[in-house]
Amino acid sequence: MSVNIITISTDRYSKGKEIAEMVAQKLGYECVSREVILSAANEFGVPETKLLQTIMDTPTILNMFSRDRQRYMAYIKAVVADYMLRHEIVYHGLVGHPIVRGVSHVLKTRIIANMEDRIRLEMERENISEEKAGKIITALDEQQKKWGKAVYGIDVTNPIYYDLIINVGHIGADDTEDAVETIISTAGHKKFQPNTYSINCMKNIALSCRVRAVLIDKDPRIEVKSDKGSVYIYTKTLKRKSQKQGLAFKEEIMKIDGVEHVEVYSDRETFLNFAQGQ
Amino acid sequence: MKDKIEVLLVDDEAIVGNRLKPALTKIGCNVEVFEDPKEALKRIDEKEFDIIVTDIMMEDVNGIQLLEHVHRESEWTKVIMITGFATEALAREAMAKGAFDIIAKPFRPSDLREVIAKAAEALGFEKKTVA
Repeated sequence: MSVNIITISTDRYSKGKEIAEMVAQKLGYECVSREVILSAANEFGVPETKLLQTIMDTPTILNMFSRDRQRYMAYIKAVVADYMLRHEIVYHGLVGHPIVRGVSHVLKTRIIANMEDRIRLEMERENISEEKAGKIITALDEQQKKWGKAVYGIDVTNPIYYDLIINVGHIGADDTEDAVETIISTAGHKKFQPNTYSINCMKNIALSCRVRAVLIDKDPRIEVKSDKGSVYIYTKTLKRKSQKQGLAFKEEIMKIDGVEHVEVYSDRETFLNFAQGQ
Repeated sequence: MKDKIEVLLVDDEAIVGNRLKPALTKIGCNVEVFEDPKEALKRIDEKEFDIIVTDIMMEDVNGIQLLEHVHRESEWTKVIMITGFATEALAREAMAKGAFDIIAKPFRPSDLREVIAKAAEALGFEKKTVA
């Protein structure tokens, strides 16, 4: 299997969607964004609007760790990871790149734009004052940071999480072609070629996300790692339950496609020490 | 085209060579095993191998240095890196420097056989040569 992936995350008004679509078209890849939400909704029988809210709304202190929110996010991650495993795609959005941290054949890109350009576009679109537009853009940026922190525990705007950052404001207002060419030439570098190790990382991530999505109803705090079909799980739900229930729990996991072996830990430190893979 | 694929395997842990040599011989490879990377380099200077399988973390000469040496000597040879310390950065460095593939340890001999078969195919060996 040789699957190339480019993730593109963007600020509002930075032409990210347009650039992602052009990159996908030139490479003959699929450009994926909200389509995966529809897939997740269909697969897990959840209303699409609920899933959309999960990726768009800023989590509040009250709903940040709500069972529904965690459940929906687990479904989305499972579908996104599975999609990345099986398709050559340009993924546009915020959900994708933190899932595939550590996968060497994924080019993680961020498109940004100058604040003044973004404010000007918001003013034109909404016919509002510069001050109001500035406040809206600042609030949106803050919302993006909060969302990333709540869902992935990271600041998704931090450059350390990206291989390539392009400021479209620095290469000419209309020159998205330059950005497209930069992304394509970077993605073509040998270092981003899929290899056995990186493909195994991707498979491990996809299996871990899948197992977590299946078990999320039982324990919203469940942690999963996988390594070539061996699945390692940390959950507190089995702590006080019988051995019989533990076996039933393992049997349920063994039914998931790709699972060959299961280890369940009720102590997080032991899980962190012994769990292998991603 | 030769009948046998000439493979050099270098890993400072003897058990790796002991385990992989029979697995590769079985599929039609002539395998030379080295525990000392400096000795492996001498042999590489003497003979052009089709495929080199090398560990990365070794004393004196590491796998990346060996990869660079091989590519200075030959454009033909495919180099497969094996390592117990695989990371995103290391995988990218190895691929950027022209490795054919990188496999994380531990792996099954069949995993390496699969990659050897791909490398052999890329070199133009017929599929039946590696079977």
